[in-house]
Amino acid sequence: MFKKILFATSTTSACDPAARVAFTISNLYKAHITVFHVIEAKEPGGAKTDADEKTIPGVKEKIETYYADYLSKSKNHAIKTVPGDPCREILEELQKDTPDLLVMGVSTGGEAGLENAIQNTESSFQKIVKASICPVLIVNRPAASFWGTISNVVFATDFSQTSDKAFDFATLLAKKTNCELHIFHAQNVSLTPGSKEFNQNAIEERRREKLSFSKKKYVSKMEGIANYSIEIWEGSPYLEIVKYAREKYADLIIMAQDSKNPGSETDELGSTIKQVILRAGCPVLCVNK
Amino acid sequence: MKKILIIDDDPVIRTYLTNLLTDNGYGTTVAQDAKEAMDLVDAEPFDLITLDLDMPGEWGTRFFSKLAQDKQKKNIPVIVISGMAGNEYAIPKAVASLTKPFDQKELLKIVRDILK
Repeated sequence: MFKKILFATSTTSACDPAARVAFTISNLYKAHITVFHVIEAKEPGGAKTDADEKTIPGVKEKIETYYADYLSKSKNHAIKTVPGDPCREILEELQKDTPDLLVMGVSTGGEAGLENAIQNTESSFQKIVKASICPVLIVNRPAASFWGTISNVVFATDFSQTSDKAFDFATLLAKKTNCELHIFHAQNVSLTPGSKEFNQNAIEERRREKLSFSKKKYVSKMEGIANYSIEIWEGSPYLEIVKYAREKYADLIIMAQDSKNPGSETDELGSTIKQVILRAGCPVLCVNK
Repeated sequence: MKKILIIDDDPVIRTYLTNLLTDNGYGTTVAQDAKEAMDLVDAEPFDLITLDLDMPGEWGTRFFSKLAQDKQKKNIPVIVISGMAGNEYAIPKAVASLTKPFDQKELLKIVRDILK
């Protein structure tokens, strides 16, 4: 399933949950893992200096010590340290190394930093997720479960074209791991009295129609997947996705990153995926167009 | 002049389709949901309908079902234009299905073929 994993880390406790997931996947799939650390350049604009270059051996040593337990159990790994702008360097490394999966945490700045990284369109986190050429696995919450084994995967769809790509990834994963695949759509319902969505009969009707549509759209493409379910709930999409994933004991949520122009710095990460990353109790895998 | 009813809850899409179709010689009327659309269809005849699926209130499929049950309206051709990939599964009897973002040349060709 995975041959090459890039684990982008700040080598701090903020990335500990991501490290656990990254090394677990690497061991499970005998995938090569590159621990990638960017030494943030001191010069404005991330320009590299000789002074930055000189810190590389020391930082590498720190990484080896910090991840000693994981590295001792990993047979196929490399450590790469470069100075520069984290966003630019990670994206360049993706182009050079072409991994199957990028694993990363979100922020080193505690709750406030986390909120900022996810909400701020200029944050390295958002830029990387939007522009990544491979799926990005985000491990945010320290309490998040991890891919010790994959038993339950939630694929949250908005039925878009990008969601189709995420669906392809989810079905491939389900076939390779024999996990249960839960296809889920949350229809956005604003329960304001007088709003068009307020009528319960209309809500139920739409739910049935979307369920029928989902079955027609997805079931024929799931040959070979023994255990799957399709559900449509109504409410605030991100909350419903988080609640549904919790109910299904999901190890992973797969979603499309639906920026209209991947790589564009002006586009914002979708509001639903941002909130799911912030709140989900398991890793979230974002698939780009 | 052939008359096209554009049904979409997104004002940007409504304006885009209105400009595109008007520029190409068609008369257009817009509706922002299925209920408003049904009122318009009841009031005047249309040669073609472009229909979004995921709108507040009734879903596009429900509008299509109601249209198909009406002897006088069931022959109005409907093009589904939706952000949902695979929208042909939602309304298999639509004359065409396009996924947003769609190619305007493709849409115009479909419209021309239907209304020639």
